[in-house]
Amino acid sequence: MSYPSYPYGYMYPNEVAVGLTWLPIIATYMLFVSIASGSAILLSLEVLFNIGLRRLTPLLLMLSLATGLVYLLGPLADLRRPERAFYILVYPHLVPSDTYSGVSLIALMAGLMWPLLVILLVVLGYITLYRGMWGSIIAKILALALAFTCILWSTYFALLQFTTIPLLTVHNLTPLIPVELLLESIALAGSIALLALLVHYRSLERPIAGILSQVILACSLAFIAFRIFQVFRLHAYMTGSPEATTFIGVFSTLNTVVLILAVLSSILAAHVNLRGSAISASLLALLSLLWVFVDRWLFAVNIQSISKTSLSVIPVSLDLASWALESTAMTLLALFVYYVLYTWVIREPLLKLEGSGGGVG
Amino acid sequence: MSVDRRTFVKGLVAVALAGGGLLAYSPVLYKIVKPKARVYKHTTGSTGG
Repeated sequence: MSYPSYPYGYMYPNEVAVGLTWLPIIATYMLFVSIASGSAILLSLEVLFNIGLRRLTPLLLMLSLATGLVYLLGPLADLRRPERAFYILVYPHLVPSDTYSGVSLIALMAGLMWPLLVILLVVLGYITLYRGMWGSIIAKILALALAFTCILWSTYFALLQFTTIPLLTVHNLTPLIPVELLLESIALAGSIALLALLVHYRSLERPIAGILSQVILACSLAFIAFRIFQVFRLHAYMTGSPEATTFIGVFSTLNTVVLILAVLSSILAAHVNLRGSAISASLLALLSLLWVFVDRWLFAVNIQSISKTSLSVIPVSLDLASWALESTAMTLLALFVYYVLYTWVIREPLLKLEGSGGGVG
Repeated sequence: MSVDRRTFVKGLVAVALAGGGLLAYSPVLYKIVKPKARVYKHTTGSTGG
């Protein structure tokens, strides 16, 4: 069998006409998903195991709600017919039928997991912050459900990748993406929480900064280890086929940038842990944001541009103006939700009282 | 009823953030409010479509 040949290599004719399935806004969307799910995971870990971040729970709740409430605007901007997006919330295809067997992953996440995330956050926030029921069995069950929901949210981009990019599934080139996504989410949420603390109080509280920086350090080091292992595996065992050569060509450059940013983030996290430096904490937030964003861009844009034949790269012209505008909109609206929560609802980013029974304001 | 200056500034910041966000998102909102009419192409070529 022979493929039609184009100036760019072997690819299917409709790939030349259609270009990318996902627009670059998906990279921003996944960044927001990471912040929302990462901070909710930290929140639920605190309720479940009391890891020493109890004073930080209002801030984590605000961060998670602010990003969680707006992130669906990303895929909404990606749709060709956004006016029909409402139907995925009203009629999600969650139960397999004779006509459509299987379950739609997007419907599962948007129609079930998104409302579940928001409801769990609100209810858990209410019973812990306002009712002080930190040790109650209801709080533990809700925290467990929230952790499960957020682990699914933080790793869901990998499932989306595996279902839409056949190269990754058929050749099993990067099997550790789900774990990496989870680690990145927790590290990013931790560093954003550090930045938010700095903005609110203009200084870092050593015990909280110590725990957060340890979490960031552990996650970034584990991420680096997993990514280096995957690169080693790619170069040692997976090379030789034309598919792997195309993949390595697209993957390598940005992956090096991701690794450098992750290493710098871990160094800064170690510095924050040792010295409690505010400058390092600000730089850490910036670098980890860049690290996770570049990684999302690598998978959402670069790897997606590999042809379905796996033999060439689709030539695409990205509409960066729309991406910048939509990303700005999502950021401003997330800041709006955060500001409303901070000014009129939760008011105190840090709990005043330590130990059980502490409440807001 | 008078609103004190602090509350007014807080309200103004909130409105500015929401307004800026909605303004930047307006191209997508416009697509939702005024969706493009679906174009049905009819082939009338000699091959019979």
